[in-house]
Amino acid sequence: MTVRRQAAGSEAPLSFEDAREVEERFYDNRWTDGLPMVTPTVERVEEMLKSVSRDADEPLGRMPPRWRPTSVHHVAVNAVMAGCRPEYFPTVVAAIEACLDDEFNLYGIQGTTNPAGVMVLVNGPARHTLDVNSGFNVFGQGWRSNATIGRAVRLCLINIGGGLPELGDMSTLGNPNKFGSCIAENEEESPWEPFHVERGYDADRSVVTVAGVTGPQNVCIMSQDAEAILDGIADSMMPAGSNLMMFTAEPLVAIGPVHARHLARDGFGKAQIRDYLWDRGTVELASLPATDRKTVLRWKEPCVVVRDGREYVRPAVDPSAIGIVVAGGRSGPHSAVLQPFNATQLVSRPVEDPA
Amino acid sequence: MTFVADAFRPLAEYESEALGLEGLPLAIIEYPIGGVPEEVAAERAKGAFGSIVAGLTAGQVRS
Repeated sequence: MTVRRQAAGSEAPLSFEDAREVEERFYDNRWTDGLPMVTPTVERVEEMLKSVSRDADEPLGRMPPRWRPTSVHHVAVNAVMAGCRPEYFPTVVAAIEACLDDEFNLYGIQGTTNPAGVMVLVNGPARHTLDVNSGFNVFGQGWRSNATIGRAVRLCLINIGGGLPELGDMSTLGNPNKFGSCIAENEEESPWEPFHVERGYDADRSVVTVAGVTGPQNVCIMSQDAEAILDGIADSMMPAGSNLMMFTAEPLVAIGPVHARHLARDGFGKAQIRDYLWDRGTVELASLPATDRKTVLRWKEPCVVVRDGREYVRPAVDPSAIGIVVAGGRSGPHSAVLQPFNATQLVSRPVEDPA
Repeated sequence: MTFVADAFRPLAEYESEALGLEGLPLAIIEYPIGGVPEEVAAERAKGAFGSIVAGLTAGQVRS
């Protein structure tokens, strides 16, 4: 059995006696996330590469914290290992390109003690062509595309970036989404413009967005009143100890279809929702312990506002920094806030059409 | 040379090796830094001074 090694260094294919030896050697060398993987044979990697028009050796950038050169080929090896079908590969490549944008702050996400990881959001036709779940259990299990696209990104962060716990990944607790996290926006259930269209892409263009976030913090509001729903979400933006209490990064709010319908019925569009959350999702500095106050004033000073002589901190520098997507199943009064890390911005990239 | 909190020393060595800077002198400061009282921060800064001078003039240092 012949396998081409994905890491920098020897480019000669590795040979193994049998599949079991491959699995054990990959695990022993810390080339996996701990789960069994699909063996990246030369044939499988070449099949993956055929789904994009790009040269296998095309450089995509250097991935921190090991700063290894990242090529399309390297990404393909990890996509095979993750269990991706070849048609998923253009989405994985676009996600990696987005991760390597300086605005995303991948170095910080990889090396931090924070639990933040990478979440991939898919918009546009790829949601259907790849069967990316946007509905019930959207953050959970059950869809091969969601599971393996997210996992492929994580394996790249491990094998190319060197995100090994205690070395390149200093996360104190981690979070389960670090095995891989990928959702699609439920554009069909959304009363509003899709996320990628807000960002200037055509509706019929497939786009991925990467978010450097912790796991989703569920917000269950039973009321059908729009302001009650938004107050619940606003109160969840900056609870004690949350990332948003310290950082100016861009948060992502996933609004469930039930909440979205109530909000739209009462005249709220995405812009009004952002304004509401930005205005009401504030915390008075006097309510914080002294050390936290000092942290806010040093790290999140652009978000501090004075009202009637009292200091408050807003969740973001500007309302436009709050990302809003509609996601999840058609029933249930749930939305979620995803806490971003440090200076991380939401970064989008178009997905190459299938070759 | 560079400053590193002791908790991040493995990352610093891992990264400096990857960048071809194996053996980069490190002035290692006790972690955590954020949230410590100012007098503690000042104490650590004073303690690091010798390491910085040594790091700039010799090999890797430990404070």
